[in-house]
Amino acid sequence: MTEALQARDLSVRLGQRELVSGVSFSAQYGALLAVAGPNGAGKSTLLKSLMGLVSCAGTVQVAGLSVGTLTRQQRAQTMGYVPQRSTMAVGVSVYDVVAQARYAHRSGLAGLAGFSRRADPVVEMALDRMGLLAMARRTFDTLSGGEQRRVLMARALATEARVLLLDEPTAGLDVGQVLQLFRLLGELRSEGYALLAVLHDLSEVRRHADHTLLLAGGRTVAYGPTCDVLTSQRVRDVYGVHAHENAALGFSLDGAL
Amino acid sequence: MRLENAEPVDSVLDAAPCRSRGRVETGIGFAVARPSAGFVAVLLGALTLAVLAGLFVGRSSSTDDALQSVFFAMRANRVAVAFLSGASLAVTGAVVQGLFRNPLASPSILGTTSGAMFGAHVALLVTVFALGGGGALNVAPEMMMPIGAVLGAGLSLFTLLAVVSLRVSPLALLLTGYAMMMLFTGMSSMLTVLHQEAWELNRAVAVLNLGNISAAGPRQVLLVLVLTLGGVVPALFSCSSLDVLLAGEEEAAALGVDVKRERFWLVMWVALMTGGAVAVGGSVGAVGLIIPHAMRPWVGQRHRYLLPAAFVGGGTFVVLCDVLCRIMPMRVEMPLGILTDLIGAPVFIHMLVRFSRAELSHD
Repeated sequence: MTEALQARDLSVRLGQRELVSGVSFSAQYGALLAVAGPNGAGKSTLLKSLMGLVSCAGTVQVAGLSVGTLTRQQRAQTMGYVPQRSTMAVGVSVYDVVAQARYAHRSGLAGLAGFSRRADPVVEMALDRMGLLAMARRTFDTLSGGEQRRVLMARALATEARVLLLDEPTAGLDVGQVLQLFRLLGELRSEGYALLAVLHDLSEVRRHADHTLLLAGGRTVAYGPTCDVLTSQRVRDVYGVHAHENAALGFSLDGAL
Repeated sequence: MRLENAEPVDSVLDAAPCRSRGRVETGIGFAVARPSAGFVAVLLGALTLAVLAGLFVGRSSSTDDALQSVFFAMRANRVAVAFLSGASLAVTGAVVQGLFRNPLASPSILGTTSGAMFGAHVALLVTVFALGGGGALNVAPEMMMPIGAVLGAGLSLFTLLAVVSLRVSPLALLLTGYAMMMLFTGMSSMLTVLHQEAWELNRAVAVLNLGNISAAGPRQVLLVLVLTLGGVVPALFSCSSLDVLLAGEEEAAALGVDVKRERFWLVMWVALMTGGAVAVGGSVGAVGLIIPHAMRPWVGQRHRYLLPAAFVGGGTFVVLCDVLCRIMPMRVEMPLGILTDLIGAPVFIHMLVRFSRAELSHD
C-alpha cells in the first residue's frame, strides 16, 4: 500500500532560526495522524511546508510522487489545506469560496471558465455535505467562526484531494461543533481519506488519532501509534515547559485514560 | 451521512425551506449569482445615452456641412478616448482591488497614476531635449509619452509590490501608495522646476496634470485602444486566479495559484492600462475607485462579471463627465481630471468610513 504522505528529514529555516528540524513521518489513507505539541513546536509550520507555502529542506512524497515534481495545481489536486483562520476578502459568497477549490482543476486559458448557468456539481456536493447549501449565497465574512470553518472544510473537500491537512480544526469551536467535526473526520477516514490534523487537546488526540507525531521545539519527540506516543510521563516532559499548564493538563489526561 | 448544521435552529429555519423548494435536486443555480438582465440593460442604456450625449451635446449651430463633419469627427475621437481611458482605469481599479484585497485600492490611490505621470513627464523631456527644439513636441510625444507612462506606472507598481511582499496590513498598503504618490509627484515637480524656461514643455505637463482629452485625435484613439485591449484581454484570462487570490496569498497558493507569477503578470497589465489612460487623458483620478465600488452590488465579487461591468461602467462614467465639463457654464472648459477628483474625494471618504472597521483592521 502506498503511503498517502511521506516526509523524510523535513527542515524549515526562517533566517537564523530552525522552526522544524529533521522531522520524518508518514500518513496512511484511511487514517488520522495527529500533530501535537506545545505552542511554538512548529506544528503549523510543518503543515505549511508540506503544502509548499514555506520552503523546506528534505523530501516529501504525496501518493508516491515527490512534491518537487508536481506543479502547484497538481499539488493542490492531491492535498487539501484547511487553514486555522481564513484571510478572505470582504463580500465573497460562500459558494464562491468553495468554488475557489476548482481552480486547481482548470487548465491553460480557462480563466474565463465558470460562465455556465449551472452550479459546479463538485462544489454543490461539498456544500451539501457540510450542510451549507442554505447559506451558499451569504457572504463569508458574515458567518460565525464555526460556520466559516465548515466553509473552509467544504472548500478542501471540493479540491477532490485525498490527503487533507487541517490546521487546528477544533480551535474556537464549541463542544457540539467539535463532536460534529470528529464525526465528519471519522466518516472521511472510513472513506479512505488520509487526514493530518494539528490538535491541541490531548484527550481528543487519544480518542480519535490513529497515529501521533509529538513535536517540541521543532523536533520529533515521539512518533507512532497514539497510545504508544502519549504516555503520561512524556506528556509531562513536553508540556511541563509551560508551568501554568502542567498540573491541569496532566490531571485531565489521566482522567481521560 | 452529512454533517448537520452546527446550530439546530439554523438547520430548521434555513435548510428546510430550501429543500422543500426542490433546489437541491435542480442544482443550486440560485447560488451562482449573476448580473441580472435588468442591470445589463441599464448599463448598456447608460452607455448609449453617454455616447449620444458625447457626440451631440453642444453641437454648433453652424449650417456649414464641412464644418459640421469636422466637429463630429473631433467629438467622435474625444468620446472614444474618454470611453477607453475610463474603461481601462476602472478595470485597473477592479484588478488592483482584487490583487491587493483592498476595496480602497485604485491606480490613483496606490500612486500608479503618479508614476505614469512622472514617466510621461520624463518622456516629454527626453523627446524635447534629445530631438531638439519645440517642433518635435508636435509629433514624437505621441509615441514617447505612452512608453514613458507605461514604464512609470510599472516602476511605481513594482516598488509597491516589493513593499507588499513584506505582508503589510491593508492600511499600510494605502499609506505606501501615498508614499509612492509623494515620491513621483515630487520628482515630477522637480523636473518642472529644473526646466522652468521651457514654457512649451511645462504647458504640456500642466495639461497632463489636469487631465484633458479635448485634443484627442485618431492617433490617440488608436494608441489608447491598443494599450487598453492589451491590458484588458489578458486580465480577463486571469479572472479565476483573481477570484482565488481574494482568499489571500497563502490560501491561494495552497489552492494551486502560482501567486508570484499571477501577480507579476497582473501588474504588467495594470501598468499597460494605466499608462495608456494617462498618456492620452492625463490624470483622470477616482474612476478606478468609484466604478468597481458601484458595480459590485450588482455583479458581486466575481471578476469575470466585475471586469466587463467595470469596463463599460468606467467608460460611460468618463464620457458623461466629459460632457458635463463641456457644458459647464465657465469661461474656459473645465479639465476632466478636476471633475472626477471632485466626485472621487467624497466617495473615497465614504468608503474609508465604511470599510475601516471591516477590512482595514484585520490581517
